Amino acid sequence: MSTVTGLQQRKAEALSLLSTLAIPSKRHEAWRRTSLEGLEPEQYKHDVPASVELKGNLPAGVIFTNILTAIEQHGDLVAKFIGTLLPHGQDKLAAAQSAHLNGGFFLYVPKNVTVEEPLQVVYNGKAGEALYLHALVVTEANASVTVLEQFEGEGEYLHVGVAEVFTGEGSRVRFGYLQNHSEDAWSVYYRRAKTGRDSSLDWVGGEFGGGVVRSELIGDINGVGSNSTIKVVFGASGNQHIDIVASQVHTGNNSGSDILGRGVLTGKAHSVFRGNGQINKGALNCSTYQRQQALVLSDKARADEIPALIINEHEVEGAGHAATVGKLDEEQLFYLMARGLSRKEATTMLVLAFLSPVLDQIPVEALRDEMTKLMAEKVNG
Amino acid sequence: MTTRSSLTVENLHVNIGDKEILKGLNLNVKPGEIHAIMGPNGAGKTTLGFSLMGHPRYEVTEGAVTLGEENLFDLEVSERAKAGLFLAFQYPFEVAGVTVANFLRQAVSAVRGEEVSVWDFQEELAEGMDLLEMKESFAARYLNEGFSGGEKKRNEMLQMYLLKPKFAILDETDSGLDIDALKVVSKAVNALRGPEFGAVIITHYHRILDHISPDVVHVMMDGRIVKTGGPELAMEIEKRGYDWIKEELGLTTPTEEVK
Repeated sequence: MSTVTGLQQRKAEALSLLSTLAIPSKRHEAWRRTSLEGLEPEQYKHDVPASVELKGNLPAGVIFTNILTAIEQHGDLVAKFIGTLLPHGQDKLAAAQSAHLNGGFFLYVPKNVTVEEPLQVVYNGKAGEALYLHALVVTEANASVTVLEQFEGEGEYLHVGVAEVFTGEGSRVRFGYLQNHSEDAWSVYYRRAKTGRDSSLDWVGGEFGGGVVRSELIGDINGVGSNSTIKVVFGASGNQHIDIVASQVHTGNNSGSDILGRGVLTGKAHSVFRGNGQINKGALNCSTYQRQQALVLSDKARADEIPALIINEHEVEGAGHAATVGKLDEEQLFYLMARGLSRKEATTMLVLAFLSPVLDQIPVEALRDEMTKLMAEKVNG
Repeated sequence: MTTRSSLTVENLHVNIGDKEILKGLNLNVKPGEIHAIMGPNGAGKTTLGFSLMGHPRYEVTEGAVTLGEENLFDLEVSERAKAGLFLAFQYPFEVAGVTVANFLRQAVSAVRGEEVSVWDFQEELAEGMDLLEMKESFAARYLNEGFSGGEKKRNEMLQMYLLKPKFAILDETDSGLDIDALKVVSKAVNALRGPEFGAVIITHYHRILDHISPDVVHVMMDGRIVKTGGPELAMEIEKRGYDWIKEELGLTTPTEEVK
């Protein structure tokens, strides 16, 4: 049986699962603070290819192409990895993504190849459409690459994404993103990763758009000596609801992880940030740290910062977590205003300073500037 | 130069919570003049600086303050800075994530009402830092974060020097400084000194006045200016303390610590 048939079978299976599965609901603990009530995936058109633009200079041997093209041209490779970190039977949205896949990208970097310039993927959502996207990243030994996803859009649409990242031995992957969906959009993005021996995986992203957003970054820190960081900023205003799950689960010895989340809320926005550092039994000498902080600028906005540490192994290198929700410091504001900055200018300066530990890590200047601009707009809205 | 750009405080009453701290303070600083305000702890010296700058914790219950033609209490905090008022903080706040250079460029742009380019500002900043004997690396550090007491005070003086206010209030800028730092701080005031610049130096000690000779010296007690004289008054306080003034004025109320 050829693999293309295998992928076809996978699609058929997903289609048959659709009617048996439900949309995640508040009944599930992991979704208790985010409601997808009112979401009817069927009402969004999925049978047209999603708008996906790929940019980048590729060294020999690197594959960087639309996932739909990859399924046709590199079926064997895709089939080996797709769906192995996120089973499409998880829920109805995962099944719909698998059944109606209409965009995304496949990135494959062979052994010892370094992609110097960041690769970029830009998605554009349109009213009434469903974007069922898959990002599949595979690096072989000692490869190095940076890839950036950018989401834009207008009107009400649905985005369901799955990312699966596999870092080969000694390889380095940086995965950046700027989520600036339309504020009428639904977005659910399941990101999963599995690290190879001595590899490193660094997520760095910004969440600014979307009406109801669920953004998951869950890593299986599996390779001995591997390391992973998750650094996320978020800015929510108006009636936005942004729910971020950042989780590092250590299954490999001597692995390390770090989670840093910083967000700012205005208007009636609601954010949820669940940080999870987990060391499984048998994963020796691991370290996992997390710091998550939110600044709430209005009385009606709400930030839920929920840190968790689950340590099931005695031999631990180090672990720690810290979470805070606070307001701007009035004394700092006064100090800046006493030097001529208006309240808005002073607020913007303090907010950007608060986010700088993450913003400074954005690997592309244009993207960093865009995030800075979006954040300033939220503050001054 | 006319008296129209003086700093004039008339019958100022200020509360913190229910407690009255300033109880009818009067002060008139003409352009180009440097006044010193001395007084024991709890006299309300810091309250004067904060209430003129507009700190929300200080409630003005009576009185008026004008800077030139502007009534200060009609202005927002940032507008007071733009009108030419500067307060050198006794305890400047730390702001992680904002570099000294970036902060100062934005402040200078705001006060001048036009964006000062990064390039042009480099030169101005270098000149100010040179005057205040600050290392180049200082500009890239986060505002006051991890600064020593002396560095914070120098940074306040650097801000004053670059913002070029019409009136500066120095709230115990000299406290905790060694003699070298004191000289450097004095340089900033003396560099700005001229018909366009007036200052109120709030201090406990005579020694800063050896480096910045004041035109007028006031003694403040219990929320008011109780005695005014020339530089010789500061000398006398240095020698004799404040008790003789209390006796002279028949003030027996014990002063309280207000921070």
